[in-house]
Amino acid sequence: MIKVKALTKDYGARRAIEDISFHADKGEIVGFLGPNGAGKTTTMRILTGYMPPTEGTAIVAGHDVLEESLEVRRRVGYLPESVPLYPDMTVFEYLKFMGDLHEVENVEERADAVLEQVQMTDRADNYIQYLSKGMRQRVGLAQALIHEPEVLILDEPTIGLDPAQIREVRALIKEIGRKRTVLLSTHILAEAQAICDRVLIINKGRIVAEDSPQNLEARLAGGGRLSLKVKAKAKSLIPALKALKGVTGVELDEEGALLIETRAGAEVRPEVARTVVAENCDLLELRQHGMSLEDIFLQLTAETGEGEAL
Amino acid sequence: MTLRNVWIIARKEYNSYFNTPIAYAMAAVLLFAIGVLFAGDVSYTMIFPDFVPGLERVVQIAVAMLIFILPAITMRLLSDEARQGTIELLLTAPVNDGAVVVGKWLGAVLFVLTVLSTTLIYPIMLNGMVQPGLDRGLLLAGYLALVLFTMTFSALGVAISAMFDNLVATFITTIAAFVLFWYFIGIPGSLGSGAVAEVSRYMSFIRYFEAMVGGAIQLTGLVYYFSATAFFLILATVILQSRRWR
Repeated sequence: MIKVKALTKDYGARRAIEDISFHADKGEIVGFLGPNGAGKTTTMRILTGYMPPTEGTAIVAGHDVLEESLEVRRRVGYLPESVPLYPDMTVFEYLKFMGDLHEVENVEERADAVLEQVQMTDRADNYIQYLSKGMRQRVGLAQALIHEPEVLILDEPTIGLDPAQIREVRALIKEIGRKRTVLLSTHILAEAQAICDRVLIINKGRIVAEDSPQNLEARLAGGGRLSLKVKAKAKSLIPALKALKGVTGVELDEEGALLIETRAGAEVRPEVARTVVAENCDLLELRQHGMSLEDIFLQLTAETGEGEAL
Repeated sequence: MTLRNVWIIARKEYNSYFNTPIAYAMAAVLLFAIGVLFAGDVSYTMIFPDFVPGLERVVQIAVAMLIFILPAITMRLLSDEARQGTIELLLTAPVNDGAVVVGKWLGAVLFVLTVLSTTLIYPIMLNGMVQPGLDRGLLLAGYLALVLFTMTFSALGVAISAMFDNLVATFITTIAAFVLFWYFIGIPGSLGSGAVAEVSRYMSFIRYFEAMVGGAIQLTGLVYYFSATAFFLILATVILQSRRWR
């Protein structure tokens, strides 16, 4: 559905994205994760036919974004980050206008249908300028859906919403993502984790990692840390644990649990359990701490010195 | 460029003028000035029965005011889209850039013509007051001149509106361009002779306009207005397209 190959975009002398390649299949929700200015919006603008890439190719819904821009635009629903709307139109007028532009048949029925989908039916005749931020966001989403696009591109779809609205919008995106291809950008890790099937981490215009949220966690945090709780004599276990292969450090925390640092990829849990038993201690808890996506993100972006606080 | 898309955009633009106070204000100013002039003409006729009120003055004042009013109407066409970010929606909809430009232009032209058509009430009243009635040919020629002016200068307005994201910058630049193309472009032609003067005479919008208001509709004039309109619309499209490459 989306195939991007070696995409590069320069704004004058500044390189916004460099050599970006990825793909997204039907029924897949792909998340673009990265700090502001990483190149998420630039990539999305290229995919929606808003501007051409400097180099590289992008095929969206079977058509080249440069050669067959209009065909691509017919098949893509786009919600830009700023959620542009016409304040002097009513919600219904606006959706009808966008539907007409997208050559939607029975546009009034479709407008009613998308309004129901975003739960805005009762606001159809309100002027957009009087809507709250959350409602505008939903109108923007309705606009992106009106022509039943094969591919949906959403730039920061939950920004500025309150927690209840965020939940609603995420549920809606998940629902939509079952039948279509969704590419969304976010700088919130929990969001990518909650709704995406696959995450692309982008920083300084380059993709630095790509995987499912679960795999990313596993791959990058392979060893990480274990916490071990025993009934008593925790301190006496330290020398034996330190001697295990793959263990790089052992510490006792203030709650009496042992924190075991392991080398990446090393599986030491069976050995740890045996050691506890051999030392005649009572095992209460043995837990693997995976790195959260936040840790991964910070780790990946710290290399380039741009680990933005989240 | 499909006509359907042009019409969708034109209709939206036309309707949205009725939601903006600035359009009403401009219409009010225009109609008020023309109304005062008309009332003056009529009372003059009552004092001096030999004086024949004509339409030329109405058309002249209408165009002089439009030089300053039309920029306020055309400035928002694309500048406002850029400012609000809605340009991103238009340029990612399956509509080519030419259709966006022509649709916007058509919406503004239709709005101005709607306002101007209300001034027809004056010649209609005048027609009943003078014997044997107004010269219909002159009346038509006068309004044709206004229509051509609106078409061409709105196209210039759209082109300038495509350049800026800022309404004030658009407004000022548009007025400057209008004054240049309306008043100054013909000056070398009326002063001297030679090649430059010849070109200047050929390019003088006001010269054709005045001839038309006087009843002389020249083919060169019509062709010039239509080609200038097409040129400005193409220019606007190119400027809009260049936005994609910035």
